[in-house]
Amino acid sequence: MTEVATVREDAGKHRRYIPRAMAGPLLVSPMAFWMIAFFLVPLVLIVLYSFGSQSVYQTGVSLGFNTEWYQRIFSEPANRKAFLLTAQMVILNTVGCLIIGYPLAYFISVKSGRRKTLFVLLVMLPFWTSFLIRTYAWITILGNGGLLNGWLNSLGIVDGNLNFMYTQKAVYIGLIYDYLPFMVLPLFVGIEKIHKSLYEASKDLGAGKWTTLMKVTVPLSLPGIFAGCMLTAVPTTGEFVVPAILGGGKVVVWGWLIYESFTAGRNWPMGSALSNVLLLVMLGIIVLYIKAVGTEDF
Amino acid sequence: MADATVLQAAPSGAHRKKAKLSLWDRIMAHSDIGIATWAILVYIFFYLPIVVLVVFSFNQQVLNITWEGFTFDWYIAVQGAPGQDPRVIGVIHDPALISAFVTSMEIALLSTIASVAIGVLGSFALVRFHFRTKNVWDGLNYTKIIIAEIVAGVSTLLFFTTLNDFLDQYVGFDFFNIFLPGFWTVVIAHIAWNIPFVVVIIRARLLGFDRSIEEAGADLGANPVSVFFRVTLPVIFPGILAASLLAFTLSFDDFVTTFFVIGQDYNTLPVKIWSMVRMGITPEINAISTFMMGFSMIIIVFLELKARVSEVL
Repeated sequence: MTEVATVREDAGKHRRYIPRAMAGPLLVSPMAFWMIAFFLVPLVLIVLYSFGSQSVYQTGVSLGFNTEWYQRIFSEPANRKAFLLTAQMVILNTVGCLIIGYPLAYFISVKSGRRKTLFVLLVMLPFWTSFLIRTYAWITILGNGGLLNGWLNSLGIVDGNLNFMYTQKAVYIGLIYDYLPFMVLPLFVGIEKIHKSLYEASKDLGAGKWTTLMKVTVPLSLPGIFAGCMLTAVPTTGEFVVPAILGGGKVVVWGWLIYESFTAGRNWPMGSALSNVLLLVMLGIIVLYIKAVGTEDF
Repeated sequence: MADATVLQAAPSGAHRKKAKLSLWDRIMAHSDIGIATWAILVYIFFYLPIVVLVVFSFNQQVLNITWEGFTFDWYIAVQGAPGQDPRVIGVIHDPALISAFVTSMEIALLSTIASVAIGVLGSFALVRFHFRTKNVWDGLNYTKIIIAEIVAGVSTLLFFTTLNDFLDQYVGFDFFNIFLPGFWTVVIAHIAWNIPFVVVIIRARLLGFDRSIEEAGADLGANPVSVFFRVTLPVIFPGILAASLLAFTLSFDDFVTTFFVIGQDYNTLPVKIWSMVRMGITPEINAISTFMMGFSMIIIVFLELKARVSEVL
């Protein structure tokens, strides 16, 4: 006994090179440096720039304090239209993903049996492949004289040439397609956390399947629902790839205004102001989420 | 006694319901079939576009709207062969795509190595030590994962441009233009993009770590360095592998951040695909997309088999 104790004490004593209080901060310092320098500082900079004015070279910014850009954002009808369209897009995409995704997540968690891992993997595969390519893949299906048009014609549902490309419908299809895994995975985790014996208890107490779903499954999976909605809604606010590819410039959303300001528009302070409005909206959604769920379930 | 009452009550309750089945009850009785059908339809929705994308990479039609016939040309054809449409070029002979692929690989490799090294150290700090600023780094990481990438992209562009101008004007030494939008700015931005994901995975691995085996190592006379290399590292190695492959895929597939910070002289594959899509669609885009998608999917399947990422996330 005593021998073991001395060895342990000894091991702890002469082999500690760095004081324990320093070790944590020291290990975290490279990460802290990187996240501050290349994430936080740029965010601060973009706030400064949104109050600046365009410099003579157009791409640069001269610092100052003018609220011109924010005034322009909310006075120009085109911008207001884009804001409302983006809000509508975020809400419809989130609700759409939730309605389509919940039964799927429920199926994977409760009904898929031994093949659960396979079904989860099948949701994850699209999640980890390029957004751009998954959006592009819809062009052949939705295009003028494309596959969907051909299928609908051969089934006799419609007659003639239907074009889905460059419409809001195409953008919504693409959005739901791209963001569905963001919704399904947290929903799955939420439903998976419900103990299976609760379903049996509910059944034993005489509840039907519908009552069990509404009174047990849905309320207990609320953290998953909130997480899924947040993870879908927040990135959708800045989406510009899907509206650009499937909406073809006709569906002008907030993210597209930012993209334009930094590319063809060459108006960086305006782009910064637009980004800041977006950032505020996103932080607002995150704060709502934290108030609803707390930070433990992140 | 109490158990017996419950057991008896349940069947009699079910029996009473069976006597007069409403339409709703009859629908609910088949709800399992309904849910399974729904799941199948969603999986078709997930994979139909991918299948179509792959199939149409073998399409003979240059405009790629309707199916014309099968060909391997978009993968292997040399441009300008006799009797061949001059627009036809196979991806393996397209110099622009090859150079974009090489750039993508270089950026992904460099950013993976750096982000995994930084992320592993950070995860150790966050899991095993208590210090005051801990929540700040957690919060920064989660915010970075969640917020729309366009904000990170444009703000990093502004930052690099400003820093580059500042170094040019006031320091007089520009560090070989490392902050001028181009190759290195993408590497730096991708490291920042990868770190939070690396931390999520390594941290999960460390939380499930039984620390008594490290103590056993120390008791048996190993110094902290050999405990780390001979006990800790082998145990968390699957996590490190998973994090590396994931970081590589994230970097390789990234479009939004890359697009803003890459400048004029370089192209990665996604940036190249973006400009090709905006010029008009051809089966060549399908061919290069098929290649990229296959690449990512192989990595993810491998990850799932080796490290069970689905349980981590």
